Amino acid sequence: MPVEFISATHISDDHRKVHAGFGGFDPDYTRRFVHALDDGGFDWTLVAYGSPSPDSLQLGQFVANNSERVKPMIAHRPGFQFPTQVAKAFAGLDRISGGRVGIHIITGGSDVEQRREGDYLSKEERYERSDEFIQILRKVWYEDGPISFEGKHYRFEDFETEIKPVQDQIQVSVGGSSPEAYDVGGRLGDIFGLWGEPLAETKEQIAAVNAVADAAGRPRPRIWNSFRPIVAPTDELAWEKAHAILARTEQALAKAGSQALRRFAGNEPQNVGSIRLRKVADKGDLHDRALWTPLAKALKGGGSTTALVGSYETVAAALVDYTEIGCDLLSIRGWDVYNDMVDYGRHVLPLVREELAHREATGNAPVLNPDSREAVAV
Amino acid sequence: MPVEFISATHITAAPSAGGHNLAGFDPAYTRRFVRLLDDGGFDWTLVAYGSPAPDSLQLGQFVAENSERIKPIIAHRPGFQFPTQVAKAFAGLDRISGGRVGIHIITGGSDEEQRREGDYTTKEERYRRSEEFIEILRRVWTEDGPISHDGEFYRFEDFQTDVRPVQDAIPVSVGGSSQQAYEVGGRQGDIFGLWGEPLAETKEQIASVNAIADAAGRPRPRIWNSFRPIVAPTDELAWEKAHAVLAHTRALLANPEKLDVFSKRFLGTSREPTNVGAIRLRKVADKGDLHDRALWTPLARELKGQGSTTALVGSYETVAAALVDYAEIGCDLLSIRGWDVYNDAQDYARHVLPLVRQELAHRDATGNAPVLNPDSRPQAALAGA
Repeated sequence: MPVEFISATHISDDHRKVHAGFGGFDPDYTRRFVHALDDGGFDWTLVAYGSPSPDSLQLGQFVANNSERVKPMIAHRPGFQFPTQVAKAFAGLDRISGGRVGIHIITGGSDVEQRREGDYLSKEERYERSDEFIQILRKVWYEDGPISFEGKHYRFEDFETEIKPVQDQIQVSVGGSSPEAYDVGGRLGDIFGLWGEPLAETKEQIAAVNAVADAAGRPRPRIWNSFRPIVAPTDELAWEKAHAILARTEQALAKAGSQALRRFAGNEPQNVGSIRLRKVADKGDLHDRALWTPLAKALKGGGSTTALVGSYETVAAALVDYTEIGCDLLSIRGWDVYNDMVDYGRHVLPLVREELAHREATGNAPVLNPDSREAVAV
Repeated sequence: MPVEFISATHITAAPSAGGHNLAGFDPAYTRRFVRLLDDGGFDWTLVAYGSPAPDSLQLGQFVAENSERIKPIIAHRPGFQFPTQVAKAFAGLDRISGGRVGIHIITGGSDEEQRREGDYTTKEERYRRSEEFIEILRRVWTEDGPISHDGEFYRFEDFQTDVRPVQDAIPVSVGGSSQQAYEVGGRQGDIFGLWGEPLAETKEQIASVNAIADAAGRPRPRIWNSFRPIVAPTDELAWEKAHAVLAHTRALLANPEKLDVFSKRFLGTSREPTNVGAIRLRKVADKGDLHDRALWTPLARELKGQGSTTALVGSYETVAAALVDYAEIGCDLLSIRGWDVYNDAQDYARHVLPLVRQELAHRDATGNAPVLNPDSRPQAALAGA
């Protein structure tokens, strides 16, 4: 399957916030953003979710209604809505969008965040629940006749609907970096989502997920890897930009009572993915060709926070490196979110696609940045 | 406030017993239907919900995105999704639609139907839950700063969002005919929804709801009343049509195994509905077929009073006059949907809505002198045909 590009869906033009593009909900801005993604050649756009953000299914349909081809990958946290309803919502939206919908299951890494909307389960219980939840989704989507279910977390009797998806297989993505996440994702995911770590650490995680899938005798999930690239026409200009972003971020975080940080990151997020990112950042600032981690350190690994820094060619080459170890869903979102997304669409996506097409046609002879060496932070 | 017209949102052309047209989901048909409503001058469209139906919030946005002015009033059953998420979904959709959204709370009259999606509470518990749910919705929509809640059914801590509605107050509608429904609706509803009963019974129900609102010291809810009119250019033609609809409905119900899922769920069982609204409709139907000017109940009897199933039968003028009768006793939200749903919606829009609006405008301007159908008589002779 060819590489696909994923963006995030940003919903507000508020650059004063640490997490630019997620505060409030401005439909006009969001419409413009989605149009640009559609025109720019992105394949998917993540519709994120957190307790302060809009309902992701509403936003998902808004994305679909305002685009022609980009596919909304809609984050959903099991535990807040019964699975038959969620299954019907996705099936209905799949019909509305002409078969463009995917679901990204977020099990929830923070007890505090779960309680903001009323979920009091432990993390272990949440993963068990996600497992049941995904099984029910697939039953509702693809089984005929009435369904009953009696599990640990869900129970219902004699449910039946004619609201069916148009896709044969709505893609179910699972994310996380804990053993529970590998287990659920390896057994049930069509896609497995990771935050951008160095190549070696990423390989380890992929192997862990694949081992579970192999043991379960099912196809290995496609791997989705997330980065926050900082690009410019030259490496020098990109590094200038990177340091400016870091300075601005540190300044914003230094302000007392930064609400964005409190809401999204907490003080020291304890989910394994965040702990791993902080550990990588502690080892050094620059990893492999272009992976830069000081922003992850500043933001305490709360979410996708590692950058790829360099010229369009350098960042494209770094993304190709990840495709070589098996990541064929490349998620890139920026810091100045609208302008960065336009730059990626113009300059980065075509380079990656051309390089991969060239290698395929010629039997793997690299062209892009053939003499690339590990970059040195300027 | 002037009278407003409500239609249902139908989502498939596939035939169904009782003309609900809710099985399956055909986006292209739905789009055409919504455009017809928008062009036809309807003010609201009910996005219904039942366990086999599409997610009503998804359908609600689809309605909003395919219309310019009609307002989706979206049925929602508390108990299946946590209230902070529901509040944000409505607030987000209110922004997307430019402030056109309403919510219709359906508490659920059937234990069996609730269990299909996993709700095992009793009806009494469900009404208490609905009330707590509405209170949380309004807090999320209007309060600044973090919110915590610790109630009988819901608990959460330190929730905060800046996803806000554009309307000052998203209208909350409550429906039902039990004492608990009157209580929750009278205390919490901006709108109270009834199924079409005769004028006398309707007045009783309105008085019950108003008594609760008065006791709680809050504005009386606006009253929404639902009918399934059967109209034609003359009374004679309308009655012919009515008897044909009845015969057709009986034929479909005679083969329950061939019904679509939605019809099967609500009509295909031998069990009698236990919700008070359905029991009331059957009681009215047992008293006689024709009530007041044009209210005809044999279809309600066939369909076991499951939902809005009472017809208003007659010429455009007769049915418009009957609707004005209800407006006069305080129903200012008139919900009309048909049996041949697309064509009926078109007929209502062309012939019935303008007559009702003109008549009410005339009465308003002239101090209540009726013009429409001033000498109309009950339709008993025709009904018995």
